[in-house]
Amino acid sequence: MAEIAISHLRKIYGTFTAVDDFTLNIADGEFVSILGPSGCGKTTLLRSIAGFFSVSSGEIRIGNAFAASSESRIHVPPEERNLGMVFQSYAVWPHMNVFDNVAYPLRIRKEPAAALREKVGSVLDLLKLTGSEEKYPSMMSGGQQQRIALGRALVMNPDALLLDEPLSNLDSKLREQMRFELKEIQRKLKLTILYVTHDQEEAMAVSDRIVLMNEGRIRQVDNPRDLYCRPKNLFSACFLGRSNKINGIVSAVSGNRVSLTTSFGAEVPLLAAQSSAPEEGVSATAVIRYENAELSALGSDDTVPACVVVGTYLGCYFLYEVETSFGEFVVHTDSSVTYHPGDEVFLRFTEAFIFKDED
Amino acid sequence: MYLKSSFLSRDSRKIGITVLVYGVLLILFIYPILHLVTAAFTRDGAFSCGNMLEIVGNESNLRALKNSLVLGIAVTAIAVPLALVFSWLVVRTDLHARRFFRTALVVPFFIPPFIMAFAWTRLLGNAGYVNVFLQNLFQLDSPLFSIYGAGGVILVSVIYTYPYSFIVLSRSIENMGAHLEEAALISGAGKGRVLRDIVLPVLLPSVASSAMIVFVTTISMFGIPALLGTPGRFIVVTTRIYGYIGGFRDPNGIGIATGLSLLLLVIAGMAQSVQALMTRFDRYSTITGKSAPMEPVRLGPFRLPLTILVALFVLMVVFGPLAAILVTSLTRALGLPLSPENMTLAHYRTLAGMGLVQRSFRNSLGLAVIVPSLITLAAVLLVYLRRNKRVYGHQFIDHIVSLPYAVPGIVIGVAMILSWIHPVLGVSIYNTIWILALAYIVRFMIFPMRTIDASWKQIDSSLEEAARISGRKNFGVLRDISMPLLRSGISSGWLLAFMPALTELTLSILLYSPGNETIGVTAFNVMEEGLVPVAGAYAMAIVMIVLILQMLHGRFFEMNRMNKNRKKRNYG
Repeated sequence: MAEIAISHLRKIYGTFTAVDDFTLNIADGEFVSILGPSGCGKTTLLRSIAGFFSVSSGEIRIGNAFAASSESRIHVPPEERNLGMVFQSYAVWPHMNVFDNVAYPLRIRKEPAAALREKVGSVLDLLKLTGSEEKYPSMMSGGQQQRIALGRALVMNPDALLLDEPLSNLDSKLREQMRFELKEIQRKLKLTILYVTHDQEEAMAVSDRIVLMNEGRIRQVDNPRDLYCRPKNLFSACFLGRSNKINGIVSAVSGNRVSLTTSFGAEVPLLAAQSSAPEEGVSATAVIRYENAELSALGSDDTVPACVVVGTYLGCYFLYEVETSFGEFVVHTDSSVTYHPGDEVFLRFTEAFIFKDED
Repeated sequence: MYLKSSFLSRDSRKIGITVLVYGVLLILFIYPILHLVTAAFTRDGAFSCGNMLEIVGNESNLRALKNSLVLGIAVTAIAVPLALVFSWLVVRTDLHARRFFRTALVVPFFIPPFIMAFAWTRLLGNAGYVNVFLQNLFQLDSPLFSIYGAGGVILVSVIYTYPYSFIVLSRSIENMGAHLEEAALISGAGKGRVLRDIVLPVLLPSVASSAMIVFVTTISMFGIPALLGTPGRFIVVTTRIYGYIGGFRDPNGIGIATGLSLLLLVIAGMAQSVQALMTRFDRYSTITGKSAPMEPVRLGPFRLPLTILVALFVLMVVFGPLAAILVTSLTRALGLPLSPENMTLAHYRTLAGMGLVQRSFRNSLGLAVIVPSLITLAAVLLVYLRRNKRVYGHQFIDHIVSLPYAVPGIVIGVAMILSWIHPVLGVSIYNTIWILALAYIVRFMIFPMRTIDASWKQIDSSLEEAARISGRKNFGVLRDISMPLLRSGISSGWLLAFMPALTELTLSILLYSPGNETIGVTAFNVMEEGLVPVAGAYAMAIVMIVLILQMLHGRFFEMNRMNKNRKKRNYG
């Protein structure tokens, strides 16, 4: 295994910049996810690291060697980068059986027969594929094909493993299981993994660090907990979790107590999160996660009145949609008190991420 | 429950429909082929191997068989690798003008083969433009090339057949998805190994099936060997059969032609079995997934030379023959240099004034409208009956209907003669245009069947079920829901039958009678008789009609696809 260092990477198609000024160091044995909406450039980035795309500028270092550098005009072809990759469509070869699929990278490297059999055997064992050596991929389920693809990527002991939305074609039960297994294998083999996904829950579950991308740029790099609890910008705050947004002018700040005056004149009392420190008088957007608001039957000086539109029971919590003077608002609550459409209630905000609006 | 109730409700209506459907299918599709097999072993009304013995005992017949096999193998061996290289260049590399080449390389597919053959005589015949030019250039006494004979037949057959393979292979290379190749690259395989270990094995089924199609098409071809092979004494089975039926004064002619037809049928069947065996194991079922676009393979220093090579091929093979017939049709007299004062439209006027030509246009147009309309309607009904299990043994319908397409055209022609030469139920259709109509129905039925079946499969059955729940019955559902949604499948199925019917030659040449000539027959006769300038005008007229129709079809198809996409979004 090795570390990967990407510096100032840029990939341009004609006039469209798919990846812009991307700098990131991935430590040896680290599990890093690239998370972002579709079209954010995450797959382009991964494929540039794999070597399928040449970079427009910047450099990529794998271990001690340059894999790509626009300055020194280096572009190592994918077959010489010693990386493992798992594709979204698995890309297992339909004309080879399980054993041959997994053994292929070793055959290319002219591994002696005995060692080849042993290595393939241990990988198949790790992935619980022992006994299926002679089967062809078309006879196997999606989850098993996924394992074949993973085995093929692991067998040659690559410097790093690249995974391109590897679980998105699986059903949700299997996805959770594979997620868990993948993390286990990574710990056991101390793999360096770069994992591309658009599923935040998946990224949270497996990663040491998450790189949040949008429109070709890094928006935030943090461990899952900090990324969720301390978003550094509006995009991060909105992308993770489910939230309400309120626009307005910051009319009063006292400690972490902030008042936001909306364009309809409503004054909204908020508790600002530590990571966001708004100034008085600026135009700002507050992001309030569903779980960071509470409903109660009694009002006080830090609540706003609301009217229940609809309540939905979702097992472990209730989801209420309420109407306020500044628009509709959604709240999660695990309270045992139930409200009915039309009930007059009071809304309290326990934590808000407040960001100054960009002009 | 369901099975039980359907078992109990096997009403007389379903039996009636089954008898009707299978009765018609048996008479049209099975009876002629069976008749051919029995007639091959019959002489003077009794079982006899006389026909077969006479074939085996006649050196000319044996040579024709050998020539057909050699021709089929040679053409397949050249056309398929050629198509593979073109497909790869056009789909996977950074060759210049890839999109243009992808369209241009398919053009020979749409030009009737006998017209292609004629066009090549105008390039490489004794007085062909290329030969005359080279003769003048090098001061030679005799033409350098001759298109007549085995070489010419192979050349033009390759040009006619490689597009089949090209269409199939370029589509499978595209569908293969770059991921399979990328997975091999990242495993450490170089480009050569990726080609050997991944690309070729995955493409094998497509290569095998397109090779089979090319082989069977080649040995079934009539126009090209008749126009280019026969004058050079290169006789194949199809031209031999034509000779026995049309010309030779042999009392057992029809019997020997039948025997030869059976042999041709057996060879075609064997080719299909070999292909079926090669791709029997269904481990190739494609594994689909979203595939990111691959950066095209960089040809580097070969990019320009390869582009020029492909461009030259297109120029010589696609546009050369078309230019040759255009110039031929416009030049006042053969051999005159191409200059404005030698240009004339007189040949087109002569052509338009020929009663025979006018009549054949009327006949072909009539056939090409009536037959596709009939079989499209029949296909809608058959697919409907099969889909709704309104007929017993519904799974056999497709096999029966697709049978004639696996049979060489000339064999169907012979089978039709045998089956309908005597009056059936007091009606004789032999020597009328109706035997042509019947033969076309049998031959082209598969086209609308396939397209309508395919587009019907795209329609979720819930759309029809919703109409039924709303209270509509059987044919009401068909009219209100299925037919409107099938519009594009129906029209493209119709056109797929219309196009080959308009210029059909192989069946027509065996089955026409005076007064019932088709475009293919009269054009072929004009070419064979050596009325070169008029033949040029005729060929040009046909090419224009075919290419314009093809363009309209393409345009139409695009439009339909857009409509379909829009619809999908609305439902979605």
